[in-house]
Amino acid sequence: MAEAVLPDQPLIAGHKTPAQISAEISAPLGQRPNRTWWLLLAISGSALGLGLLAIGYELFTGIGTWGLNRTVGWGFDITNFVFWVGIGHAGTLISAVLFIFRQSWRTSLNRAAEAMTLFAVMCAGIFPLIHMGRPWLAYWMFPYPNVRGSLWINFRSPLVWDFFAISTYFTISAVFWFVGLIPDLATLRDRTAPGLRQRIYSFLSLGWDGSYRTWHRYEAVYLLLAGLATPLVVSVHTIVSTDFATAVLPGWHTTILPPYFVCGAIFSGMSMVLALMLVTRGALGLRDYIQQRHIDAMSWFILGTSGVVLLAYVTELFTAFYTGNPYEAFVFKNRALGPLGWSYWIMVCCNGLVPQLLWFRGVRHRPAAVFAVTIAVNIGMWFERFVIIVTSLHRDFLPSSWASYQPTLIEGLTMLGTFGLFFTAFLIFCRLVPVIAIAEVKQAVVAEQGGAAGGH
Amino acid sequence: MSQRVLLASFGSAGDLLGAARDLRQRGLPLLNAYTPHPIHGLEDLLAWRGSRLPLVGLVCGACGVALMLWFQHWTSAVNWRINVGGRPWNSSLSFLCVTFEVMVLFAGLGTVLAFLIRSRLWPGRSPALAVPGATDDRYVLLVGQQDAAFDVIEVGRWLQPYTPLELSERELEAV
Amino acid sequence: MIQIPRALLELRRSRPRLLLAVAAVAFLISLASDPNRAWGSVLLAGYALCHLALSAAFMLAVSYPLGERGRDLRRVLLAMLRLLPYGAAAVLSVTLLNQGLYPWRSPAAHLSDFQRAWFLPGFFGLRALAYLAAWRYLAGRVERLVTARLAGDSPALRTAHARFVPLFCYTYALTVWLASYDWLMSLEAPWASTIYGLYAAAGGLLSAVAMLTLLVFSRRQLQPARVHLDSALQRDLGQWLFGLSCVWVYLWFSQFLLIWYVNLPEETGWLALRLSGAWGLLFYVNVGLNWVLPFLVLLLGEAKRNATVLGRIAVVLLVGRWLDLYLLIMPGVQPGGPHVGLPELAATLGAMGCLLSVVLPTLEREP
Repeated sequence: MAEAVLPDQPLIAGHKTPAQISAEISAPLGQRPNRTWWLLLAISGSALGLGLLAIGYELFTGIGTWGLNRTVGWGFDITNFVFWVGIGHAGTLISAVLFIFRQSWRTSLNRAAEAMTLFAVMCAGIFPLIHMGRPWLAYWMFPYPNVRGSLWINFRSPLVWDFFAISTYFTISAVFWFVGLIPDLATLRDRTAPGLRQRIYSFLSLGWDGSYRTWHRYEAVYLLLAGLATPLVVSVHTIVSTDFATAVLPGWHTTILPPYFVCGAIFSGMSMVLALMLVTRGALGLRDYIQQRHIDAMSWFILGTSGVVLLAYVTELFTAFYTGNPYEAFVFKNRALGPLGWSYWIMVCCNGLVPQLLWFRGVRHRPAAVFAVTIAVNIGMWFERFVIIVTSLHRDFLPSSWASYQPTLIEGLTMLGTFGLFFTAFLIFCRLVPVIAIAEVKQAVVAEQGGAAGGH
Repeated sequence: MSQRVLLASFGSAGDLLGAARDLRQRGLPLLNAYTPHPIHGLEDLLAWRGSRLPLVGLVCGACGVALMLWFQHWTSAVNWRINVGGRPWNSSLSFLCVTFEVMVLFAGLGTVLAFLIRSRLWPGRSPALAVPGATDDRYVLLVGQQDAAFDVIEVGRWLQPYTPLELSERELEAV
Repeated sequence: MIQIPRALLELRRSRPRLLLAVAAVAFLISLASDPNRAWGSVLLAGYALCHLALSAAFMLAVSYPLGERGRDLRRVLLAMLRLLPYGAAAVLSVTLLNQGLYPWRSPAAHLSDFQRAWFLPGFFGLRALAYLAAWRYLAGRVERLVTARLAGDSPALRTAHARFVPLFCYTYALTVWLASYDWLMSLEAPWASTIYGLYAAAGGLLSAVAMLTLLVFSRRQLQPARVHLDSALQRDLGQWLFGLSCVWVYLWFSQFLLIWYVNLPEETGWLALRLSGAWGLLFYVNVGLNWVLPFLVLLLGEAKRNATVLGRIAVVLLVGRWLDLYLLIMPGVQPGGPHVGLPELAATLGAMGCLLSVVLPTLEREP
């Protein structure tokens, strides 16, 4: 990639040997968690608990506990759904797309990023599920011969595409993550003292013994999975965008929506990965593995995708007035200057203006500043979905149907709960499996130190 | 059928590759290796062909495509027709989305399953050949001993430039 | 190794301006019989040449491609920048002097108030000048930076380059988008599709990488001693072609699916015209050339390493790019159906003439 701006640093600092790499990366797993970890777990666990209470209350009482109404039929639920799916996409991007383009800097990030994908998709999946009102009937989404005259699901509906996309995405991401994990689980199995932990590692590592015949096949399978995951991640957010773009609704139906959503997803996901990696490397002492070059490379991604998102904002706005369709023009005027205009300007500032700070070397070299930018982007991208959904809906074609949308406490707690789920899962993940792919880092380091092992 | 093999263990990928190249030139059969990570170029020295697993993926993916195109056509245009916004019964363009997802699902799961079966990996299985350190920092080469003329000491001498950490002989059922 | 017909390469020496002269004659004859088609063809050639140069500048600016190994690629991309003045001249001849091609010039056109102001003839021409001036500036600045870095890289140059990237990217994005709206999309005003700018940019990049691949091969054929083309570089070119072709088809499909699915009267006309009659055939051939064929061939890793196959795919893609632009422009100019004749011949020969008489000699003159 941008060689002009990427300095030639070693991939992993401090000339490590393979033994050092296994020892250092698996070290945190052998130790007792420190107080910070427990504190964080307590916070995120409480958030998760509150979320579960809110969901439980909603299930027993009904969707009426939310602030939706006849005009604004989608609110926090779908905003959060799209937000979380987007967060997940960076994981696949880092593990699959960068693998195909032989960007070996990804090896320090891919494990954690893939885990994030899984947790984020879980969080995302909750929302459409509870929005059904009767989630125990969720299997109705599946095409099976049924007693309703075998009335099949409507394959022309983007919501059905969504069901297929999200479930395939979760399955393939989980499989991809697990396949990448097998060699590392074997490493852990061989390093851990006999006991329950060792037996679990042994069970899950499937009897991996480092045989080259297996490695040989493993590499072919991994490349194939990466090749499948790359178009998959694009298709998933494209399908999410068609939930909106196939509706005859000004503000939703616009042809740029698929690439705009995909770039937005990468944008927010990369920011979330970067934020989490900055915290993780501080907390787990992995500074040699997650270095400035990683921050720089991810900053370029954030800048590039920010540019596309900004261009999409401008294009949509311009085209709404250009075509002279009064409804389109009204929606965009209302977005920027209507009652919810503040959310539009949060979106423009956080997604379009704040990330521009990353052009400056001085900002990129201050982890705290980068962290602040990534948080701003995540806030901005959350509001982007909110703006797209709510401002397009709340002014109906008929002024008599105009309404407003006020999220309730239950919706807020549900959203908080998904953050709780995400961080709780991530904290537990950090304690159970290596946060960095040991075998891949070894391969990359050996290749770089002039060993005969070629990088990908 | 069991086979006697020589296990030569090295401390670096470079040594393993050097040794493999050397022994191959001397005409010794290299059976396999045990390494902590993939080493590019080793499969050429072991004279292995590319894996055919991607072919499994291709076939599974093609099955997924065929199945979903047929199934969506059958449900929407044959078995129970419903007019959705005046679109054609067989709205192939909007069927492509689900077809694509199912293709990816089939190809991915099929390939991984074939890989696990082919490599004999399953939960709870204990490693077939425990070579200490092969998942950490040891690079082990397996050399077949095909006849009685195999001279371990001589081979050991050939390997000296590559500083083997350990040489041992074993009787193996299958490699 | 692909062999580009010797006779074609020789044209650059023996009759440097022959193709251009033939193109000019063909153009003048067709001008008399069918001026709209003739000017449409000029727009096509001009737009294609501008985008080749601009996309080359973009690649030089943002990626400084492939580090040390990419020296030859950079030389070729620098030579491609030379196409800009020719493309600009062709585009300006339409957008300044022959706006009659555009439906918004007709008093009977149904336009929004915004479009009425936006398409004031003087304003439209000024904008065209502004885009081209911006491109001239971007290409010139990139050329100076990269030439200096090729002669001897230094931290100061790296910093200057890095500082230029943001300006380049934002100017590029804004002008490519607006130029595509102005020059191509407004041929069927008031129709609009928000994806159009991205589609134009992706198409431009795809054509530039295909041209780059072909030029690298022809340069190696001309000066085998001076070009070091290793298999890794070739694989990278193959991968970029593969990736960009997929990006292109993704944008193509997004637009197709959404317009088809929603079927709004103000949107569908554009698509319906392209799906009707002989245009419909070309519509699908277009996907075949720009994606299906390159995708299938490049998917097999072998093709990326095999120079002959890669070169052929680059040719297929360039033909595909030409057809894609043809399908963006011509249905608006001659809705009756596609015709191939003197105007199309003039555009094709003119663009090829520019390539052979400008780009190849520049590459040969290099130190």
